[in-house]
Amino acid sequence: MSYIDVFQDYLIEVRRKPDKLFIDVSNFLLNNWLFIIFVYCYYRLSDNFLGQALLLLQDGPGGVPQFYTWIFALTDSAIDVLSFWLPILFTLVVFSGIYYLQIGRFNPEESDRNSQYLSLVALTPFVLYFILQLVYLNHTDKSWYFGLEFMDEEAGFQLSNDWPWETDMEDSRWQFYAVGISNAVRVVLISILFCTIIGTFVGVARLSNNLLLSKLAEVYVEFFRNMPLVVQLFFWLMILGDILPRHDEMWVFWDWFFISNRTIQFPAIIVDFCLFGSSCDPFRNLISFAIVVIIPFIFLRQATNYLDKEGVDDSEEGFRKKMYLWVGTLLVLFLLLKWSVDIEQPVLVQPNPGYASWYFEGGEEISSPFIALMIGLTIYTSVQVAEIVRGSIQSLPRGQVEAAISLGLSPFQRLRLVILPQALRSMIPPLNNQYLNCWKNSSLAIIISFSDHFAVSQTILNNAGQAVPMFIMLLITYQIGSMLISAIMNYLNSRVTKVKI
Amino acid sequence: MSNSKSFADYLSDWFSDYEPADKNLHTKVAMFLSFIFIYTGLAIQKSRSWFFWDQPFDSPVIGSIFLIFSWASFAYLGYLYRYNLFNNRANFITTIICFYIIFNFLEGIISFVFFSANWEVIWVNRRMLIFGPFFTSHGEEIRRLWPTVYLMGILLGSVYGSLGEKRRNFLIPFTIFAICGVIAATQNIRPEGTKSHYDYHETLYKLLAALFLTYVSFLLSHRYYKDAEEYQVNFFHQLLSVFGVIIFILTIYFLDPPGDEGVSPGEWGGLFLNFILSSAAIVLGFGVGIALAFGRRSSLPVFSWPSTAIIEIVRSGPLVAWLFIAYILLPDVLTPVWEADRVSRTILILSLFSGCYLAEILRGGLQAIPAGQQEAALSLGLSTTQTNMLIILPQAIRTTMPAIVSNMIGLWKDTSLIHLLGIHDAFQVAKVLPAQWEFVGLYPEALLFVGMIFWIVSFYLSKISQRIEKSLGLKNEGGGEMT
Repeated sequence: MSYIDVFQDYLIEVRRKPDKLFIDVSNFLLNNWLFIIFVYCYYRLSDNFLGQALLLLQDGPGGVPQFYTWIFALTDSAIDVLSFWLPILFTLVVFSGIYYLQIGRFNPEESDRNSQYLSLVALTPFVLYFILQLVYLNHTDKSWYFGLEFMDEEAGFQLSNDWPWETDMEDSRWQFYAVGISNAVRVVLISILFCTIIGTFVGVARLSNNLLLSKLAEVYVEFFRNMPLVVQLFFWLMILGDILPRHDEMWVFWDWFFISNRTIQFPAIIVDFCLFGSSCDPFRNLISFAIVVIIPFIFLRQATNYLDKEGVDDSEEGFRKKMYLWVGTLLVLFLLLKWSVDIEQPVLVQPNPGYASWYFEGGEEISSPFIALMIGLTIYTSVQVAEIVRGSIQSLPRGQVEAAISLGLSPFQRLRLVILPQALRSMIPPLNNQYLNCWKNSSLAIIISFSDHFAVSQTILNNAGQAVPMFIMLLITYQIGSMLISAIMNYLNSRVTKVKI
Repeated sequence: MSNSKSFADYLSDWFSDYEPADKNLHTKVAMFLSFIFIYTGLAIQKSRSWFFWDQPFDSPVIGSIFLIFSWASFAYLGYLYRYNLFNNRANFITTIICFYIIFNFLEGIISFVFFSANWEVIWVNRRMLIFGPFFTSHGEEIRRLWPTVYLMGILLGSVYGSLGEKRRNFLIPFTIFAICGVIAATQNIRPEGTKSHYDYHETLYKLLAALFLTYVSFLLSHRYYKDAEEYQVNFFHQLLSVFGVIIFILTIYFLDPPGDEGVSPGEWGGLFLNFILSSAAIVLGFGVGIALAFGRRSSLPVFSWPSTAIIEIVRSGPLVAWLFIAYILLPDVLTPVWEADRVSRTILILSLFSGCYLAEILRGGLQAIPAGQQEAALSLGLSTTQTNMLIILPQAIRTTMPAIVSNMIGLWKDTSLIHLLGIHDAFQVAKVLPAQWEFVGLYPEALLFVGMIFWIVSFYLSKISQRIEKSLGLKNEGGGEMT
């Protein structure tokens, strides 16, 4: 039924009662007071937004549109007229439309279509304002200028944690952003590894028969789950500053490890060969290193599969063959590593003995914010992992455990062979969520001044002033990281749930 | 299984199978005694005065003896639960290690809390921690908060009265809390020896009035709803939730009435700001979440595409990034139509953020509802809106209640992040307190105190969540017995 039919109905009704040309206003107001309030709010909002949107289209000095040439400009008198009538028009159209939709004269399909049109119309003032304001900002405000040229400029600041790339003041901002990403990824990978291990232990401990152990695990979970991560991070930083010695009382282990509250210096593994290209970029070095380590293992697996292609060969000759294979490959691997890897000892240099001027030459450095962030993220996520482990173990059918007991499995075998593999099936989707949280929570590095890519981006933003491209880049980075984690976890999930039970 | 005797059996033999009549009482007394012994032993070792003896008493030997007493009470606890703790070798080792860890933690905590910490930094600055710096320097503006205190008292009393519990379960904890509050509010704010112009009589009378309102509303609602039908109680709770939202709006109205006078949101601070932010974000976020959840499920592309885009974009970034966007970019967009201050922008972005997560939670709940419900509602002649609001949504909220509450807890914890925007919330105040010259460097005390406040509120919320889970019958009763 179209609007014309509705209008015809209205006319027929008016013809029947000629003394009532208009609807009864007071009755209408009483019956629809909430509706009236909405109308008023909508009118005020659209008046406000449309007025500003029209002002953005104002005719500038000299008859030229204010900030862009591809759209018409409005004169002041036109703006006056339009900003008075347009909100009223929109309000009337939208709410008469809603009223007719509410009456219910349309069939569902028409109702759907009309409600779509109506919501488009209702949102027009706001969308118009936002688009015009964004275009205006893009033309006039530096922070809204979409362009990544500023990332090629000199950064002009320093980082305390830079690995695997060395950064310098003159390097481009891209370099710094990449180092930030590598810092964040390092922390998150380590945290994910340890939080899974600790979380599994604590989750199992919460279900222990030992009263003391389960209470202890419960206290651990409840304490760290309900404490904000911000407080925890500050707390760990404070504790580290407290327990680590001052520089002049530095802990030195065999001249290879130097631990103080400024830095923790340990021997660096220098990879100095490159599989691709002649220039040796540290990242390429790392990739080459990984390939060199992984290839022998792939070879070993393939060779073992080939040897065992007719069932596992457990004769003495087969064992000897496999032993030769393993020893040979490991020897080759060792030689490859010896050829490609160098270990560098950190050396403490004090140019003016007795003064507080000192630095390290060589070696790798980690700072206490790194450790604080790592511990904080690990513990905060491990608590969630513990809850997931406990929940999925509790949701297992009781018969599984009883069957394992009746088979004569020891408690550890029960856990390792029966309970955990089955719990893993329901654990992986929520674990994925927690890993994503861990990845996003790593942005809290900024409050303990660890330079992950979020902190670096804020510094770049303060220097360059282009906020919008920076934030878009940040969001894209986080999204890519989340998608990678999700992809890996989905792969694991498909592997685990391949066998239906 | 071997038939050799375990340590528990030996214990039973040695003490001729002694079993106390009231095991729970003995457990509690032994735990209390071990606490007292550690406290006393440490006090003697550190030659500090302790609460029942003014004279410091320095003797390491006697202190160690008290610590050994605490070991003895631990051992008694171990004996009481010997068949659980010492029934085989693995449990024996675990128990010993756990006792060691617990003893060390207790010792560390007690020695920090009672002996090495200087809590004066909290006590002197308690007004700053609760209300922020502006209300501390403009003490007379606190009068704007009194209507909220009265109304919250009425709300609290009515809610607890209508839960259908015993009266003492509310009255005893609340009275203790109230006495602590009255003491904290009416004591001299300044350290001894300095002049204070703080007249506490007015505060005392107003607080007593608020307490009176709370008790009266508790007793009344308990009187009328103790034996009421479930639907009556539910209706009353619906009324109360509307009342809560009205209180929230009134609070903001009384704090910053339209016109020149009033305290603008930019001046709010302290713990009270954390409460306002999180409750505002919860209420607004609920609306946003419901709208986005239905929008994402809608078959109309006009609704489904934008809501999907908003949910996915907002969820892709961490909250910190969105807070910075609210701080740096939002003013550019909003200023022509609304000159929003930092706190309002934070509320906007927090509610959007929590709303997007809530939308995903609710979407899961909506998908779990059988299609028959909707068909039945439509065949009864309800419109689509009525079906969604009266039939679908309540069931979805019911099944996802635990997740919603944990989202709320996350939001409450995340309000501590706003200190990054330079807003003086409780955490920011705790960070700057140790810069006062009397209390230089007392970071552990300030941080731990604020952290514990956050902890208590989250813990309380999670307990409420468990209670709701139980009352809705959502508790998953699975087997699973581990060793």
